[in-house]
Amino acid sequence: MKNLSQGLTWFFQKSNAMKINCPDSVELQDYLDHNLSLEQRKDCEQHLKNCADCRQRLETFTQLYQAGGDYAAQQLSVKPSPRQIESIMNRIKLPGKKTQDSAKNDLISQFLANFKWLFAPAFVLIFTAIFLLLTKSGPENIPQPRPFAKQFDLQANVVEPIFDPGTILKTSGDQQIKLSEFSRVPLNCAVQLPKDAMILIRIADSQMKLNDEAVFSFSEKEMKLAAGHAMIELNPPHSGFIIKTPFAEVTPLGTRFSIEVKKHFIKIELEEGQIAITGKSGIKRILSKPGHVFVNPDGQFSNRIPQAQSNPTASEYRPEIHNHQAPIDNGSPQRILDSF
Amino acid sequence: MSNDSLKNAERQLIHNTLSGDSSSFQPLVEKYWGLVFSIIKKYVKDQETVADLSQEVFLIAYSRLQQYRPEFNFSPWLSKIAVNKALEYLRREKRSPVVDFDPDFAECHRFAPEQILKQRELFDECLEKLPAEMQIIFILRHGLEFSYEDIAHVLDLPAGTIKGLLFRVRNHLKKIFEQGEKPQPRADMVFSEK
Repeated sequence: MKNLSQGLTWFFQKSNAMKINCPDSVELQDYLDHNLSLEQRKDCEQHLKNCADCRQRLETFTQLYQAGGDYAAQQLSVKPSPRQIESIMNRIKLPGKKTQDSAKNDLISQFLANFKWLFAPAFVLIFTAIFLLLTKSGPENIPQPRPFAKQFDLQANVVEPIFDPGTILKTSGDQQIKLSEFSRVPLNCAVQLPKDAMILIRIADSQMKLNDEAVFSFSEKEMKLAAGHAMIELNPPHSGFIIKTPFAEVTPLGTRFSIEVKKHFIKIELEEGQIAITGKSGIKRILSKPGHVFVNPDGQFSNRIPQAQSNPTASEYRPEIHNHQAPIDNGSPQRILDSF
Repeated sequence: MSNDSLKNAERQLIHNTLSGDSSSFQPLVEKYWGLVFSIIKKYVKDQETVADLSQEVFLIAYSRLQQYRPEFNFSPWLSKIAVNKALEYLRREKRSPVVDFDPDFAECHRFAPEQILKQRELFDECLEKLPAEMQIIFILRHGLEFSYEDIAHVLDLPAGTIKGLLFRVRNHLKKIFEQGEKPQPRADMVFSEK
């Protein structure tokens, strides 16, 4: 019994001594992180020479550090595609961004600070020059059309049928009008084109062609396009004009482009100029070169046709959106447009 | 090329960009795309959104380049923008960042004993299930050798917290190399919400 008691005492003393002398896991990690002082490092190395257990523990941590390094290297190895780089560099080179560059230039900043008193007379001169240019007639005193004479006013639109299959057109209140008699799109009135019909709408110097059973409406500065295909050609000024679709908003910046609203995606194709697109998700993209982009029902962009999803899609912006049983042909275009 | 000459080359690119040569920004995009992409990927799962947000990060970095102080490293500054952008996206989308262990992590032990996975695969798998911030700490510390202070700056947390978290997680994961088994989740490694 006495021997057993002595043996246990010896065992506990030894294990306590080991616990006191052996570096704990924090110290071992500090050792590998090179966070120990020179003296602590020497003590630790001395101990490691004599303690196989601690060498084993250190080996385990070394393996973990290697695995951590490999994991991080693999995560960091993603490279941008040429298109992604091009997209970033193009957006950086937009005129608005360039001004920020120039503002950063020390010399210019210094100049602006020293000669800011010149700004007021300079502004007066510039405004006077612009005013004279706009109000005066041409150099030979011949009345010239003023550059801003034609205001972009959606209310002042003129409709011309291009393909008239002789069918009827639906408007708010389920009115049915012959396409040949439809000469103007009233504001805040939902319109659904019949099958195979194509119309041309002129607004000031701009125009748009609509087909593919397009469902749309105009308000003061806004066009809503819930379905179908719109080919738009704009000539400035058209500031504030925006096109809303179920999955994205398009702000044209002087340009020729088309929007195609399909069941599971929207295709926006730029032919000329520049457009800014804001997806439903809030992500923005600027198209400044001819090309196309697809927007999925979540408002996210892709270069390929997005796969159909089971969640809400553009099809539900067709008449089904308010009444899921209603087939396309029986729905009111107003209800479709009110849904987004 | 030594670390110092790399830093000098980087500073020169930033200086050139600030002086109006925007094309000097392109090598920085190429160099740090992986860093920005991997940080955002920890918060956002959709790859296309990650790529879009990564682009946004570089545009923000470009527009705020004047605020960058060249006496500090560029990568922590850029990483912070990436973290903020990802969190802003999650807030906008009203999605919560991952602040706890993935419930799947608890299933680590449900693997049949005969199912042998390589230790490295096991390690990667367990690490992928840690909170987003924890994975970022691992990447910044083990991949780029960020100091605790730099990581603290990126994640807006005290340096002591970063160190403590990293040590606890390493202790936790070392079981993979000791026993070749997946460790059980521990309550003390739950990341506190900022």
